[in-house]
Amino acid sequence: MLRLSAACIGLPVLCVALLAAGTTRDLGAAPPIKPASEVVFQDKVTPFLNTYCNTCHNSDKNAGGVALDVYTSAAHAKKDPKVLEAVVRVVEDGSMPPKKAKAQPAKTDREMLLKWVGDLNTVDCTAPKDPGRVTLRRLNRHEYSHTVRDLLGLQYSAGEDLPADDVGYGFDNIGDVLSLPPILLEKYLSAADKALDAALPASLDPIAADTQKFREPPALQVIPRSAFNRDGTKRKIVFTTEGSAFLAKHNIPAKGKYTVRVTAWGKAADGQPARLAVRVDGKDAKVLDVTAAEADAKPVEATLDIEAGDHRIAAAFANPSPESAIDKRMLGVRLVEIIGPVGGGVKPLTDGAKRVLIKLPAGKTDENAAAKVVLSEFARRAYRRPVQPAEVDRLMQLYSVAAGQGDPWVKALRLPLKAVLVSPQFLFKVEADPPAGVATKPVTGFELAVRLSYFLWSAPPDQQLYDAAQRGDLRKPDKLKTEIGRMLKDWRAEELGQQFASQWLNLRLLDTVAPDESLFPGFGDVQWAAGEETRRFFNHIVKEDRPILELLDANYTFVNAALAKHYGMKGVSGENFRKVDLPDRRRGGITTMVSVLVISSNPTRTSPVKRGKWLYENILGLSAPPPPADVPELPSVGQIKGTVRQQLEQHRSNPACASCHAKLDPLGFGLENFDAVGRWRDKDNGKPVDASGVLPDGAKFDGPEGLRKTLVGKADQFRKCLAEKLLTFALGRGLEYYDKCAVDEIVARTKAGGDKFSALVAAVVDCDPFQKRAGKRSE
Amino acid sequence: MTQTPISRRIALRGLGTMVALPWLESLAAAAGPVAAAAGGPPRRLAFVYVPNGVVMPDWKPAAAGKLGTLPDILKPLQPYTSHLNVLSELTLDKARANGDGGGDHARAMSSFLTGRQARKTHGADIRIGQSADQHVATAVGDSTRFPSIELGIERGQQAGNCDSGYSCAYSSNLSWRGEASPNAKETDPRLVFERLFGEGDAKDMAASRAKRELYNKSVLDFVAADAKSLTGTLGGGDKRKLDEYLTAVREIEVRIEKAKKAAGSKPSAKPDMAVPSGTPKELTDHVRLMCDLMVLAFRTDTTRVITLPFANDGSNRSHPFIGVTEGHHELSHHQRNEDKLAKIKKINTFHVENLAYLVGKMQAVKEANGTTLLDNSLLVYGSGIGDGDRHNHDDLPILLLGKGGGSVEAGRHLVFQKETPLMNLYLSLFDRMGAPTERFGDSTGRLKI
Repeated sequence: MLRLSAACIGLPVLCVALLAAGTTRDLGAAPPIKPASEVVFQDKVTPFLNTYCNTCHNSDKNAGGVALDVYTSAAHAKKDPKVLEAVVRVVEDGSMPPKKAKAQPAKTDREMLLKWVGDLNTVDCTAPKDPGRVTLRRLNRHEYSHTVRDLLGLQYSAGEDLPADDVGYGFDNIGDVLSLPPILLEKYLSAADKALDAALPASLDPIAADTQKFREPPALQVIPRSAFNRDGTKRKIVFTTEGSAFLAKHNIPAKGKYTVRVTAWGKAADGQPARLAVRVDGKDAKVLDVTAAEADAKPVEATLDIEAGDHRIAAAFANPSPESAIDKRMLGVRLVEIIGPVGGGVKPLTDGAKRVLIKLPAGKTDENAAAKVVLSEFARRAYRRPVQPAEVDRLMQLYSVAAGQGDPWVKALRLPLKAVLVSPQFLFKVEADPPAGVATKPVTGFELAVRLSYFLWSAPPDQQLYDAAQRGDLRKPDKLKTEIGRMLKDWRAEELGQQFASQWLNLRLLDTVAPDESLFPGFGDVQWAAGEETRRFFNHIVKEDRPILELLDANYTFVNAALAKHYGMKGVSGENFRKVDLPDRRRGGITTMVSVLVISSNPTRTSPVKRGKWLYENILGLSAPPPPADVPELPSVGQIKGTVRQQLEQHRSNPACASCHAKLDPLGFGLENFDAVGRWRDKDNGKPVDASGVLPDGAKFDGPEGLRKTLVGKADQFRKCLAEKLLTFALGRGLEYYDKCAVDEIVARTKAGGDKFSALVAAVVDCDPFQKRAGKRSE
Repeated sequence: MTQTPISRRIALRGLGTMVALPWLESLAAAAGPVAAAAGGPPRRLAFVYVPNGVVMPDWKPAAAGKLGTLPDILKPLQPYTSHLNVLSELTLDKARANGDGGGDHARAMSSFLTGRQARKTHGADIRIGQSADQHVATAVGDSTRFPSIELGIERGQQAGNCDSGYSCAYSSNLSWRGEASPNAKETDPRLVFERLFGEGDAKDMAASRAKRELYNKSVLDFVAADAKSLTGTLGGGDKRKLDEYLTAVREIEVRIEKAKKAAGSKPSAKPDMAVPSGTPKELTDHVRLMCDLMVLAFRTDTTRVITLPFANDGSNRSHPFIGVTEGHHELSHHQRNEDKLAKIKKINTFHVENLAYLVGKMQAVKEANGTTLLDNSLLVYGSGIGDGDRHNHDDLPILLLGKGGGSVEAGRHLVFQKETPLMNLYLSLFDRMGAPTERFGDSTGRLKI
């Protein structure tokens, strides 16, 4: 039954796959001649698989999680590139069929199979390429937060309360997987209200004048301190030398006229009355004579124009007598009052509100016109493209609904603004399909800007990028390059570490790992710092445009005091991270960082298998076969005899396990000098650590430094791995066989560009899948 | 065992009177206490899922028939045997590889309520099928404010490969609205509470109910029109995304309508629970707070269908507070090692203790006709994997709690024929929930329970 249904799925797939190969684009055309790969599949490959493989690798036994009897055609088999890749690897290195098997294929048979797979995977990169089709992508919760932040100038994460997004292909920005259940729409509605509440003023009405009084410290500060005296219940501020009574940070709520009134007395000398200077932010605004006697202090005042915000406001003694004088002038201050804004004033808009309310109505009559300006611009920014007059009209209708209910202008705007924030035009990154009858088309300049900004910033285009799109500059190679360079230097590019690297390297698992407290006390202190190190390291490569191979091997890293202590480094203090040299070559690059070593360990012990698998999948870009169901994991410390390595080697003596573990374990063995929380160790379970390994291709190494050299030696494989991961993240879809040309091109261009991070990004941005869109998805 | 969850909960109960209002405040009005309807209190359906299988010898009662002294893992349920059925030999065939290779954990969780084979994909074209809770929610959801509620303890994994080539959507979602649409679960108790019972100032908002309804309707009409016009221009998978969007809009519209009808006719629900402050650090606190919310949602008839996985399948969480510092998944591959079995048993028992807590709370809720909430509920508890070491999907550990409003006899260990589809149980539950159907997933017929 099942096989039948698989075939049913496979059949249309076959047709589309053939079309994609470029033979014809017309669905109605006569069926193409059966390609050679299908003939070989039937005549030679199927008998080969039946004879040498399917005894174990069938859908019942499913040895090693691989079933090869399910394929009904070459095109069907092509759907599983990773399985084919694995078949090639084991047939090539001779590990399959197992040595003990009686039937062994002849050399020519093996070559036939390898050639068939090779031919199958050949995509003609000179023919018109299929750029693929990205399924309409919803903003994920991080992108949502950043988008609302940029739109409304908010400082909090608006997406914090949204449910976690599902992950596909290792990333949480995959259009196919980002669903929109009712609970999410409900949250978008309330998040929109919350964001608009935070960003916009409740009212634009002027605020009324208010009097605030200050008599003595601490509200009213006095310099010199000796000028303030307590005398029983009496408190006095009396200046005989230079000094002032001041408010260090007085908030002026709205721009306007304010009266500073000081009740004071003065003692004249040398024929000159005492003078009081009213100072704002250190500058004399007005100097007043104070002639009232001490027993009869009287107010003096000055009315000034003051901008909204925090200000230092002082009443200073402007003319103290020289030190040598015998008869000295004196100034006494009893009370400082700040009254205003006189006649009312308008509360200033926050930065966020200014971004939205770009035009304020001068009176009732132009409220509609102002609303239209505000809504047009807001919709343009929110939809990340020019808006049509009809769209603005619809928003104006919503405005009228609220205005008709008697809402004042700024409140009435809330309704259409909320609608924008919940509209699919905002929540999804909408891209137009090619017109009917056209297979592919370049995305528009605005769509490209959106792809770029969410790729590099996980945020919407800023004005500069938008303008570049509008001018058509993103289609000019040099201008595009400049724009990418600017974006990578921008602070928002740190999102590449937060979003891309954190997922590529699985750093987000750090939030949930729980190393055994009794075995590894204090790990909680560095749990966050461990991830931060790797993110900073990655962002350093981005920002300084370092070669990507430095990710594998670098003689520096980033630590704070707690993490340095964990590493056993000296001379780092404080919570702040800093760049440090790594003279100890046992560490260097991501593979020996605490973060990576912890997430690939179990809570009580290391797991060379998990570490091997991590390297295999995330550095070498290969897919590890899943373990068969009934294989046990290793026991925890205390019950095992010998080192973890010795345990694993026993496990590998079982030939059923050996073929996979020979690939994974040696990589992990190279990291056995690091315990389950990534600290250096010489012994495991009381026995010396053996950190040597031999890979299936014969490469030998000893210890983490040796392993690192081995990995650097596989630089091409690493480039391909990173290119695939970055392209997946950039596109928001899984890669398909037809993306192979793009990946090869990205690898070649990165290498040619000195492996610089910007060269990698430029190559990703330039490739067809990023620049174009197909009307239909090939399978 | 250092946690002190009790004191905190008591404190919460004491605070008790907070009524608050959501963005759709008026909706809370629909959540009045359950009225004594003509047919008695409504029936409720809940599914609680546990990952990685259990230690079967300490789970399965020795003999079929009337339940006596329960096996070790089920001990915490001893006080509730009169409301408990232990069901043996139920099978989830669609969790098996069936030619798809590794990925038992993803398949176990995703087929548990669907009885369908997950399409093996990292993301493009995810497909499984509608889940049992959603089948019922579609049929009876009209009577309550929320057709169903999806709760959880663990968020979906946030990076990497979840299980052997399956998208993380499969191993972190129990509930599927449609074949390609998982229902996101809420794991933060504060957010659950706010969603169910609202936030904000009651007086301020109650003053302008009609206006708010008008505004909500205007916004929803606007965005639905946007989605429809986009649907006209886009193709393929994009259409599906917009359909999801429109479905969500409709569901919220329906909810507004319900609230409108209910307004004035029922008093607002007053949850006797303060707003939780967020996700508790201790697992026990977190699970029990979710159980409290579940009971509250049922009691106030805010919904009649709830799902709550205690963890995602394949979860490698450690449980240091019960002396298990190793990861759960890692341990579940026990190879009959006694020490490991003892530790898994501890985790299994911990989960059942939480279940007993939930059941106890349900029993404590008295409903209109003198019955209890537990009497009127059907609660399925279990795992899609039998033994974590073998990854088998037959003879699953499954419990049925509650009496479904007197429609289920309880207190028995029912041993069915080997390979009886788990979906057969659901067919029988559907009848009792007023959502009968002839086939669901890989069902072959109704189960006699």
